[in-house]
Amino acid sequence: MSTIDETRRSAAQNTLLNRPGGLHLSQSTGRFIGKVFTYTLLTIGAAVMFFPMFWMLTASLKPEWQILTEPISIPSEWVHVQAGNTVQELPLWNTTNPAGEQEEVITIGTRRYTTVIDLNQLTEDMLISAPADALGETQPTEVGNVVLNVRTLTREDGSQIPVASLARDGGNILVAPVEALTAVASRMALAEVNAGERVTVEVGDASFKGRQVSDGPAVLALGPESELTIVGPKAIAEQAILVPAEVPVGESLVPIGNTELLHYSLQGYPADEYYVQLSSETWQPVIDLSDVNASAFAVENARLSEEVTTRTFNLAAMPVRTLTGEDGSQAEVVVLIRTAATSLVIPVEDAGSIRLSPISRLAEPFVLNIGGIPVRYRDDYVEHGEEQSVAIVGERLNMSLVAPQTAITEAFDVASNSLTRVTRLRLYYENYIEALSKDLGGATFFTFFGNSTLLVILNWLGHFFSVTVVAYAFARLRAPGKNILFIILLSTMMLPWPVMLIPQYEIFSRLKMINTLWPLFIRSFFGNAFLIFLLRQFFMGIPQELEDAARIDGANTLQVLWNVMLPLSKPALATIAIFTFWWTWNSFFEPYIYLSSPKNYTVSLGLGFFKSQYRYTFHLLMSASVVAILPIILIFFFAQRYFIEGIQLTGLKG
Amino acid sequence: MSNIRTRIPILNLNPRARREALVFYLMISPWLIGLVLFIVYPMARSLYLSFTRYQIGHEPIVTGLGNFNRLLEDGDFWRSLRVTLLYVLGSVPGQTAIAIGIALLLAQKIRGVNFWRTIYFLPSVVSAVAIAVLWFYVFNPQYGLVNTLLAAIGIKGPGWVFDENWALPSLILMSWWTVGAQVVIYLAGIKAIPQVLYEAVEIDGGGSWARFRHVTLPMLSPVIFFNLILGLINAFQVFDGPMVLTNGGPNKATLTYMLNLYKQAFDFGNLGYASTLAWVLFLIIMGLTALVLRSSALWVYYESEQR
Repeated sequence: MSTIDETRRSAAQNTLLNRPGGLHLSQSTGRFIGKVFTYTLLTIGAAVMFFPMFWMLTASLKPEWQILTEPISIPSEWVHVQAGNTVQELPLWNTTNPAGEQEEVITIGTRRYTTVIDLNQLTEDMLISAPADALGETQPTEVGNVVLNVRTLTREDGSQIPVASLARDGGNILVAPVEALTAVASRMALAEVNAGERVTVEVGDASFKGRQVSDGPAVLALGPESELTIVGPKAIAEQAILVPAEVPVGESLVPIGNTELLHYSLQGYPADEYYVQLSSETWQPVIDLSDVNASAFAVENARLSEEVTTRTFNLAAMPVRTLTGEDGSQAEVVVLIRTAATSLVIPVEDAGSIRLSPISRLAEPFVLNIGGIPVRYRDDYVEHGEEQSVAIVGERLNMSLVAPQTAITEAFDVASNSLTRVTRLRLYYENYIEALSKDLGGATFFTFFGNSTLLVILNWLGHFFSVTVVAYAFARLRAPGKNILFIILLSTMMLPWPVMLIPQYEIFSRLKMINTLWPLFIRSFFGNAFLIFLLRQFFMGIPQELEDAARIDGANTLQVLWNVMLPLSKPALATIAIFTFWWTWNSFFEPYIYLSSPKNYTVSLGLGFFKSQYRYTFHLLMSASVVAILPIILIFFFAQRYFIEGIQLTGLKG
Repeated sequence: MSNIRTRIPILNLNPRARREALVFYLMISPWLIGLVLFIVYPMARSLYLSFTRYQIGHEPIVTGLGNFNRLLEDGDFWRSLRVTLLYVLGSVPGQTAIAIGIALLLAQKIRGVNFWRTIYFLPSVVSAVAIAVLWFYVFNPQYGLVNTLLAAIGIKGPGWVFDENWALPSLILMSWWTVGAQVVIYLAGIKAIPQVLYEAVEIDGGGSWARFRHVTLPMLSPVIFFNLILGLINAFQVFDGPMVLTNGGPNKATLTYMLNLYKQAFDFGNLGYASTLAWVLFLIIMGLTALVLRSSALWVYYESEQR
């Protein structure tokens, strides 16, 4: 056999040396294709392996809306534009403007359209009277630049044409071919159609009940109706002003850009200035919490005057009453919160920080108590980019955000599904804080980390004590029965563990160790077949002479082990440490059966528990997972070769 | 020579050797005690328990073959056995093929072997729980990665872990993701194949396929054989993944053998019956391992055989 091999090898070398040029070229081309093939496959495989983990990381940094709407995307936040000098922020949208360019816009209203036909242009020869059963289902279809409710008409000769129905004709339905209608159909604002006077137009024998549009033709609305969103340049927001909801009056429709908008004049403003409403919502007076703490106090309602005036602080209308002091002195105070018997008041001169906030920013407030009056407040209220503490006071107000019509010169309308939110990259690291601080049955992830870390340390102690001693005995000492015992040791590595499960549980149960960490580390003090084998193989590779030299100097077995073998076995000990960490950190089944209260859970068990509690909050679930796997991933990156070598050694030779 | 000294070997030694033997037994005593306490005794005890009715908190009552009779009529047992066999059939060959494929690629003369190996190994470092949590999200019919990608090419993906017919395939797909350890072993195996053999094929005019078929595969067969047995043993005892991903559902479609055993033992407290299940699993695994072992003569190539 070996002679044949050698002949072949020399033959191979000869061919390599004598290879003709032509062959060489084709081989290198083949090799190039092979390379491309190899790298392509490697990349695809690596993507499959790596992408889910990368995806997990991005998901852990996403806001919840993005999890639900954009499964594959980078973590982003919605971009807003501040409205005038208010704290309100308007969402910014991306859309295509009539010139075909991408533009960032804000929404300023909606407009409903319908498809109409010009009755004056409708001629008798377009009309067909058809029985209802000859017509198919209605299907909104885009024809030319309008949308029509198209049905299929099956004629008596069996041929089919697309039609739209116009009116009833006794038992029949009056339809017209779509082809003919496109010439007379157009899109028109519903408001414009409805504003027209009702008219009846005769076309041949048929009569149609239409609308006479002012300065236009008589039209018949066919539908379908559609709603478009009116948008305008984001610069509009800069000129926005906030006014009480009753201030905009005299609604009327004006054409702006290629669309129409409702505009208003404002009470108390010049009558020829027109405004467009950007939003209308509920606002809430707030006041700096520090002012409340410094100057506000509770008084009995009896000490406040019956008479109440309204004073406005930064648009926030607040009740002001007169407070009579015990010495008879009188002062004007703002009533912040009024309960049945007492009120929280603040002197007018200290009330300067009262202002309005959109109510949406004040959700889920905390409560504190001042003189028996509960005060709702938020400590993370953001105003102009700064975080503040504000108390919620007074009565809610309906306010309108309006912008001068002069600012809106370029409004246009778009289908609402063509609008997408403007976003920018933002990593929601808050997810991690939230996931880690979630209460999981009286424990948090930090508890699980503590338990897992403690177990790792105890298992390290156990393995370093037991594995080194046993491995040394198997590697160096001679004794009858050793070979059989070694075979037993190896075979226990492959033993299915379920057969040991129930009696082991019984043992720990008798020892009152259920729901403690004991069952999860005590066995490491009795060795581990895999690690014993690993270390024994390493010990066998250490030259006997080094040991003999120590023996001559009078060292006993333990001293040899401690002073000679272990210092030379650092790589193997590192492998043992890493495998111990790996198994302890990832172990699930045993913690699952032995631990019952969350305060004792390990990281893996805690993660499983977290999943059962917060199944579909994927952003938090992924944050928790990332934290759970981070330690082992880091160790893997820094100590990869110990993983690889440990697996190679035991995998190949076991 | 059949006197007492030869039958008890330790007495047959000179004092120095006897001392060494004593030290040996003293040093391995932690492992020996552990062996008896946590392996030998539990195995014997669970064998005994498998013939008893034994509820948590009560004493075991010997019922002979009662548990085995019950087993034959237990729908969950047969279901879990079927689920597990299907899982093993899907997961083990798939993992083996993928791992060998990756190892073959990594064995080429490529740049950055360490980089590629790190990526391929990464999923295997992570706990089965974390993987199951991640794949629970990946397989989400609405928001998951798989269905989003499928939707991008116009396919409406199935309900995966929520669909009775797709839950087990989901579990098998998930298992194919963690082949890192096997890749490492196969890669080492391929690297150990003498280059001479490949050159010989080249002389005979064989291409890549011939090199794989006539050199790599036979030379790797002992490693494949070993991994197959390990994979078989592990796949039969799979618990963490199905527990966290589907908890045996929907409608017991992923009720693996160990999930069923766990439920019997710790949810219903039937420790005796659970011991029977454990021993039946033990026998199944041993039987299949023996089968693979016997078949190995047909396909595993040992160099020594032909010398």
